[in-house]
Amino acid sequence: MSKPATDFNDPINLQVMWNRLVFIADQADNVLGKTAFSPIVRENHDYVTVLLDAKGQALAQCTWSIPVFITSLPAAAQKYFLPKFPAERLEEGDVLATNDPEIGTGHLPDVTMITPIFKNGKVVAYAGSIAHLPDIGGAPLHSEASDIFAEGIRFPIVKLLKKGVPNDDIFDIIEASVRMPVEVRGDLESMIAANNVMGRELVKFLDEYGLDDVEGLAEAIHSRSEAQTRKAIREWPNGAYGAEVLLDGYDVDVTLKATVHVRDDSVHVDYTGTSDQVLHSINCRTNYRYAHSVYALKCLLDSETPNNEGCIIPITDEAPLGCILNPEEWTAGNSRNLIGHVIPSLIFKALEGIVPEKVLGDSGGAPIWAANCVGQRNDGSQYSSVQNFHGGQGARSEFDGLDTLSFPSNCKVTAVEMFEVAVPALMERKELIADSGGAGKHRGGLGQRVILRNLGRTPMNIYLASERVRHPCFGVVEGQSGSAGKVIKEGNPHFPKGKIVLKNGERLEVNTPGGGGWGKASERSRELIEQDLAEGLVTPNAAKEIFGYSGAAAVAAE
Amino acid sequence: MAKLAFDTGGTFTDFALLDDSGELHLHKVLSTPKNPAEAVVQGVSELLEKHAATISIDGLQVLGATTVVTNAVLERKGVETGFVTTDGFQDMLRIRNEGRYDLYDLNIKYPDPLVTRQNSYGAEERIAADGEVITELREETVREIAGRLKEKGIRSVAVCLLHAYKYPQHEKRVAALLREETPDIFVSLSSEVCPEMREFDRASTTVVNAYTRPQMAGHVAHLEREFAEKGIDRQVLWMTSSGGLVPSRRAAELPVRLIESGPAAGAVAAAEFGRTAGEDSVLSFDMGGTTAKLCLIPNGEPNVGTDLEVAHYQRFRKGSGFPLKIQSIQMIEIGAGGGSIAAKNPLGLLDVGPHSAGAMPGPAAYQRGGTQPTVTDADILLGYMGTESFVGGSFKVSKDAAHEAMSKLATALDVSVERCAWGIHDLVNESMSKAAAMHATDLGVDPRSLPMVAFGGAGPVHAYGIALKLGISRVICPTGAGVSSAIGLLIAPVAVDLSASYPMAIDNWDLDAMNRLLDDLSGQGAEVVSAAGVPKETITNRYTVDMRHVGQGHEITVVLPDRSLSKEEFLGELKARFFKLYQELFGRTVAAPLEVITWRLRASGEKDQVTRPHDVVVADASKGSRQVYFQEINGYVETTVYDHYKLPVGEAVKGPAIVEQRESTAVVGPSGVFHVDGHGNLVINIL
Repeated sequence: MSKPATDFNDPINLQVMWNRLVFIADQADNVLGKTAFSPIVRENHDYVTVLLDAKGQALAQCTWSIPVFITSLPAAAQKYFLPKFPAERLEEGDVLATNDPEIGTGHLPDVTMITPIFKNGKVVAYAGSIAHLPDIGGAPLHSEASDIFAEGIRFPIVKLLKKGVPNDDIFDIIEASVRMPVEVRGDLESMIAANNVMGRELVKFLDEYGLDDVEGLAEAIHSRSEAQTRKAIREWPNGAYGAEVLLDGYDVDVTLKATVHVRDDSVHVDYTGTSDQVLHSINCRTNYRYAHSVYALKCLLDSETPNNEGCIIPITDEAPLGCILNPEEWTAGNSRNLIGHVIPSLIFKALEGIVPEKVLGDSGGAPIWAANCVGQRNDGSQYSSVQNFHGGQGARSEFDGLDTLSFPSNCKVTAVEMFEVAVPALMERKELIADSGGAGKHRGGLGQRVILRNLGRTPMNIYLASERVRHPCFGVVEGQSGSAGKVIKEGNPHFPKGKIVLKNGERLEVNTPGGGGWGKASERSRELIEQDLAEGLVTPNAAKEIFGYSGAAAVAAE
Repeated sequence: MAKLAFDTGGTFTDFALLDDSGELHLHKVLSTPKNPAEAVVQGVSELLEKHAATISIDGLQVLGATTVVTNAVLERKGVETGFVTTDGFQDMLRIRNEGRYDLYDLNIKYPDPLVTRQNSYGAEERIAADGEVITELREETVREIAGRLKEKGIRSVAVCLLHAYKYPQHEKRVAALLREETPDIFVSLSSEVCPEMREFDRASTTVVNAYTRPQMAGHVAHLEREFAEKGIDRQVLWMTSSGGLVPSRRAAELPVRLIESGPAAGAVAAAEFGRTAGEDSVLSFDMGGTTAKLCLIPNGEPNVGTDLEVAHYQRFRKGSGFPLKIQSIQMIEIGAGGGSIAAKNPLGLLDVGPHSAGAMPGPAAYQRGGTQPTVTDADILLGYMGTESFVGGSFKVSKDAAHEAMSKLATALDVSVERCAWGIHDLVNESMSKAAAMHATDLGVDPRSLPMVAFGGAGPVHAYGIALKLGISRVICPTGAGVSSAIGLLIAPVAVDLSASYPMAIDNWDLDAMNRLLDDLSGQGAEVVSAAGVPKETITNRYTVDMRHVGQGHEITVVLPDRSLSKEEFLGELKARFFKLYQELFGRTVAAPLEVITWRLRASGEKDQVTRPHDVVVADASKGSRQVYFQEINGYVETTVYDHYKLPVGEAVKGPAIVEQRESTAVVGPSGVFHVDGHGNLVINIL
């Protein structure tokens, strides 16, 4: 059937074809998620599928995805994969992969995989995916390491498959280095299959439309998206807008500082003034940092356009070499999200005077709290499973923040009933913490209290990733801070990071932080305060002391 | 035996009556949303009166599909509900799964839980994952909760305790205690409503059940009273989301299972339409005013699964509603129908939906105040839908009004009106074919291999275009397309779906445990199905299991091999079936151990058949002609319009053509050749 397909600027053609590209990425997502082995991939959706053009630029991504992966993937392709393996050195059936944090997403468990897509013997596009493997050798996730070499195996960009044939030497090395070789191999195969789906579907699409390549289409998508982003930036006044935030760090406070430079139709974020790199696993590589800068700005500038390279081009950032947001190559970074997840909140804070109605308060989900539980069951078998816990989302200009929400990441949590099968633990409580949301015209979302008891005879090693215990989530536009997080073992405060050992019957309690508020607490409507009181989300005392409420509901609730 | 089916929809309540001689009569009355029973009673009375001579009330079986349950949730008109869970987990309904359904939208929200936090209570008790009772149920805590519920006047309560999918003893005791303290209360137990692992999904399902139960119970009782007065003594059978009929008592106890009652009946009808056209496997496509539903029907049976969600905060955004883990026919719902509005998006591109002009103000062509162009307006301008013959000519529409609305959008997009209208039509077709492809690949089927059964007001208008995009070579447009769900009810078997989550590794197989479990399920199934009047010896039991590789999180459903096989053969066959399906779905297999997670039984009676009349009038079926747009020839062409009911059986006609029924119009493009078959189906073959 003939279609006027060559006119990529036709508003109808472009929309139809663009939708199709997103759909191709979603089909691959479906295959990857449903066949993956590691809970972190399938229950938490810790992976992404992206379609790239022949230059390695992002064309379309799966709809449900994690912000950091999306930007990291095209950056890795352009800066590293294509220079090392230019198209003329690739053959049909080749699959390239690496887990180098500098190239990919900043920590070793994430594998970045790129498969060239051929049409008529020519590379016309690339299928890309990233997934978090269940293990990568070295120290367990969220334990402590002072350099990258302690964190696991690292393989540079290699041909994992050559002309469709697995490179067994590489697989053997990987499988010999990890704790769960079957699962790791299974997940790698899921990624290979997902990339194949993208390749197959893209070729089908090109055939259908009688196209030889994606160049014209890519150009149309990128130019429209770029123009839209630039247009949105032009609505912001030129200037430099700064903010800084103090984080717990591993054991010493870490300052993150950002200055957002708005220059006509582009934005540049400068992280000068940020603390130095540390000898712990929380250093954040450039790709990881940049992905979060881009994510925060895209949310504010154009949340609707399906993400692609065009949306990203007008946004740049930098950080001095040797700081925690641009660490040297040997540094450790397994838990780099503890720092990196806070970047969007920081950028929102910097821009609260420019777009107050769009920014949200700092979120208790920044970063994700995670407990990696490792040990032996009573029958001697080994278990190892990560459970995530999120704090409350920051308040929005029109709504309260959502309770217990993954932000800026997007990880679902494993059901309690699933977790208790995977790990010999009993979750005794998982409940909201009243008054934990920062006060404001709109209130931050609530954090949660979780109590975990070891049921196993042998001790359980919990490698805990947490933040905002000493420095709570801040509010914006004069909103107040939420409550800080807490880590308590057997009733006593415990050092909130690294290894915690629970003997049989011992309990660990975590309280995730509440989100920051938006606007002045004194401006909160009476109806909202009364609703909070009725549902017990705010206590009568806090209603009186913090919100200045003196109505009948407070007395009734008391 | 005479059968009378009613399907309560948002605008109309449809009826289909099969009289003593097997003749089919169709009927429609306006729905009465305040009390849906009124329209049902009215329609039933009218039909019984009109056909009194050919119906014996004695033994008349009434069948129902309803939107009562769905609407109670969507409009939040259920009763004030209580929630009881293991102490410490009262916030489960608010905490959800902690993920976001939209990555870049900072203003996402979820629907407020159907139970408030102050009506959520913790019972002191705890059972571990392996069944060990860590904390005995402290009965006084439950009695205390009962007291509070009574004080508040709460009439319905959902109970969901941790690990009750496998160890329901504490839930059962809680129910007994609640009933003891407050005898009139409706208690919905998660272990009965939805015995599946993952507490939030199970609780969400149980809460929807509790929330809608008093209303559905009232509706059922009201109808049975009315019917009894007319001398109908058999209890009404109701369509569940999984395409089987259940007796009134079960429908009133488990209303959540009826949430997709109407669409499920539509899918059953589509399977039957396909069968009459000689096709076992079809893709069902039902497109109405605001939504469209696509459903793959392999081997005459729609796929049934547990992936369902209701009350999306953002229309059609997966993840923004209440998850329901009930057995339901797996279909994809797309937020586009005839009333969907087309507009220019911020990027300057054309978007269609998700906003809909609905019935009021409706498409611009209806001239009821709608000024934005809709899919229907585009279809009128393209000549696909006539302005004279709309709904059998009883409803006048204005092409000029459609043109005026379209011109504004066309100017904004800087394209011609014709291109704009085609763009809207084509974009909708693209969304539909994308959804169909996703749905088919989800089930491991190549959509090109299937014929499409198109019905609903807009289905046959768009079917040809969608078929071209998908590479489908055959489209079937049945008669009676306007009341398909009611026809589906006449065909559907009595059936009940039961399940039990009981993980079992293939390498550690416990044959006795399996047999106990399956016997228990079949005992329960026989009880419900025979209560609907099905003789026990005619009940068919179909066992399936949800399986996965140990360590995976997504299960696929495999039909259980014959239980009489030896253990070795049985397991060998089970594995083979798993690997075959896995290969079909995901294009690969993995050498890792397997486990069963959930056991399922569908116990069912027999299916029925319905003959649809087709008046073979030996007259010229042509009604005239009009200008119709076809992309294949890049413009308008004078096209003959036929009356579907007058087309002689078996005679092939070459497209382009328009074939009109009373409530719908089929478009046949230049690559199509069509004929009417002996069952009245319009069959379009695409060359």
